[in-house]
Order: sequence, then C-alpha cells, then structure tokens
Amino acid sequence: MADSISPELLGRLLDEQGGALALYAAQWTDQPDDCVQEALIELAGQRPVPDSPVAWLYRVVRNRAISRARSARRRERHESLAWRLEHRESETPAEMSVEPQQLAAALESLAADLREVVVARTWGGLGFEQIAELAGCSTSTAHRRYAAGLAALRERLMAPCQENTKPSSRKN
Amino acid sequence: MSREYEAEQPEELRVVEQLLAAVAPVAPRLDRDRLMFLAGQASASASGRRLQASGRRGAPDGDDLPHGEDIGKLTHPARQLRRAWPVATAALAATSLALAIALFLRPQPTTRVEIVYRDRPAPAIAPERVAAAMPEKIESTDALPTARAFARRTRTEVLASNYLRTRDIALRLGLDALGTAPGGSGDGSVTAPTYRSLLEGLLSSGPRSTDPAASSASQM
Repeated sequence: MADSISPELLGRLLDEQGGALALYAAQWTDQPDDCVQEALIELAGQRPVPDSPVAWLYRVVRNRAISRARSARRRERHESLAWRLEHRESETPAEMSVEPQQLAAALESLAADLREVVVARTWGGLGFEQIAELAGCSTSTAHRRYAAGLAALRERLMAPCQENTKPSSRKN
Repeated sequence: MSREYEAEQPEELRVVEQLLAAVAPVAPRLDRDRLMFLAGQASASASGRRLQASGRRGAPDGDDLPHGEDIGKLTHPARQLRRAWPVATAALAATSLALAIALFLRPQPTTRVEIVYRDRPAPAIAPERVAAAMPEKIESTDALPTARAFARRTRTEVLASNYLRTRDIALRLGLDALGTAPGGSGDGSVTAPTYRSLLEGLLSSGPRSTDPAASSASQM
C-alpha cells in the first residue's frame, strides 16, 4: 500500500475514469465536474492510499453528488446526460453502434437504481461486489439490477432498430 | 462471485453491453494544471497533519468535505502562523484600550488623614543640670586631704542627685523629704532641712539626740 498517491497515478485516474465519474455524478447533480475534481483532490490527501482508488473515487463522487443535490433541491434535478456521451474513437461495426443521444435518453428513462449500476459497471469497470458496497445492497441485488437495466436498455435501443429494419426487409 | 455473475450473462445482454461499450463518456471539463496544483497542496497538508491522530480513514461523507473553491483554501501551517501575528496584535491592542479606559474612568483618590499615637520616650536628666551641680561640690571638697576621700565624696554627691535615688526617696518618704534644689535660694535665708541633712545630723548627734526633725524622720 503506497503512502501517498503519485501525480502519475492521479493523472491516469483522471484520464481513464474522469468521464465515467462525471457521468456517474451527473445522475444526481448538475455540477458533476466539480464533484470529480474534489474527489481527486481528496484522494491526493489520503494517507494511506485506499486499496481500490477507483472504487473509493466512485463512493466519494456519489456522496458529493448526493450532497450537492440536497443543497440544490429546488433547482432542476440534473443536466441531461446526452452531451456526456460520445462515440468511442475505436472502430466499431455500424450495426453495433448507437447514437449517444439515443443512449442517453434510454439511460435517463431507466430507474435510478438500475441506471447507477449500469453506469458503474459499464463505464466505471467496477465489479459487482464493489457496486454492491457502493449502492448499499447485496451482490446479487447489484447483479439483478444490472441485468434488469441492460434488458430495459435493450428494449429501448433495439426496438427502434427493429422498427427501422422491418420496412427495409419488406422492401427487399 | 462477480466472475460467476459475468459468466451467467445471456447473449442478448452481451450485445447490449457491446452497444454501450461503443459509446464513451466525455472527459470532464477540468483544468488539469489547477487540479494537479490543488492535489499537491492537499497532499502537503495531509503530510503536515499526519502526525496528528486522525480517525477518518474510510471514504468521507459528502457533507464533511469542503466544496468548490474551499478546496483551494485548505488550511496550511504557514497560513496559521501568519494568522497568529494579527490575532496577537489585535489582542494586545484590545488590552491596551481596556486599560486606558479603566485609567480614565477610575475614581479620584480621596485625601485620608490618619492620626498615629506614639509613645513618648521618658526624659533623661539634663546634662547641664549635672554639670551645674558638680563644680560646687567639687569646689567644696577641695579641702579634702586625699584623693580617695575626694572620690568617695564625689560619688556620694552624684548618687544624691541621681534621679532614681530621688524617686525612691519621694516614694518612700514623701515629697517633703526631697527638700529644695541646690542653689534654689541665693539670699542666704534658712531653707527647709533635707532628708540628708537630717540623717547626717542624726548620725552625728548619736542616739540621745533631741532634735524633733530627726525624730520625725526616724518615725517615717
């Protein structure tokens, strides 16, 4: 266990997890970037460094985002998730791609507990045990929520595709 | 257990996972340099606080943590030291002001007259009186034949004029026994007999003396 976190590790965490952390915080607050910055600074002051800095960051970001949401209860709940997603630079087949706005809309339509598990699992890369600890539930519950969230997304994402493909097949 | 859950994912859900993986979250709009600076500041502060016992090791709650710009105002020992001098100066200024106000508002001291009674020492025999008496006696004893007789005579006269002896006589025999002071009347008139003269007369006359004054003195 390191005594203090190195600047290199902090920069790498920002590059690899910054976007996912901001997306995760955007579920509760309209200032997700501030939550991420504060969490990273807090991580730099931790003695000793947590065993799992990524899981620690998600927990701190979650607490901060919920705290900010409480203080800004009268305002709009949070900003849209649409502009928080973009196409990945890696080459993906056209049939395996989805529009970010479409995915963001599908995510926003999910229940909060399902969306939280999907985001933490998909873009945070956390294990179900870590997600369970983060969300305050059991591991099986976390997995069940994840599966339910994926199923709901599949319904929302695949349905338009199927509807779009049906006329073309008829044409063919 | 997570791996078991991952293995249990059905194929249709894996397709959705691949769809989600094709989209990435946007990087947060953060000033990287500022973030690194604040992180270094927090790390230095944590190193300074490391000696102090801190029970918080887990993930902190959101309410306990500073928000926004407060992160940049983390407490530093040097800042605390810089803050100590103005505080000390303000405290001393306030003390001086309070003392000045107390000085101007305190009541004026009143004049207090205190009478102290002291015992007066007893008056001693004036040396002039002794000196005035001595030369007459010495002159009267010039006719003595020997120095021993002179000394005995002088001693007797000195003892006769002693205050203590006079007081004893006055206490035992009364004020009449003291007689008059030597040289009190210079006209040569007959003075009242003194106790000494009576006693000498009694001794010189012997037991058959018929002097009424000597008999009265013996009665006293």
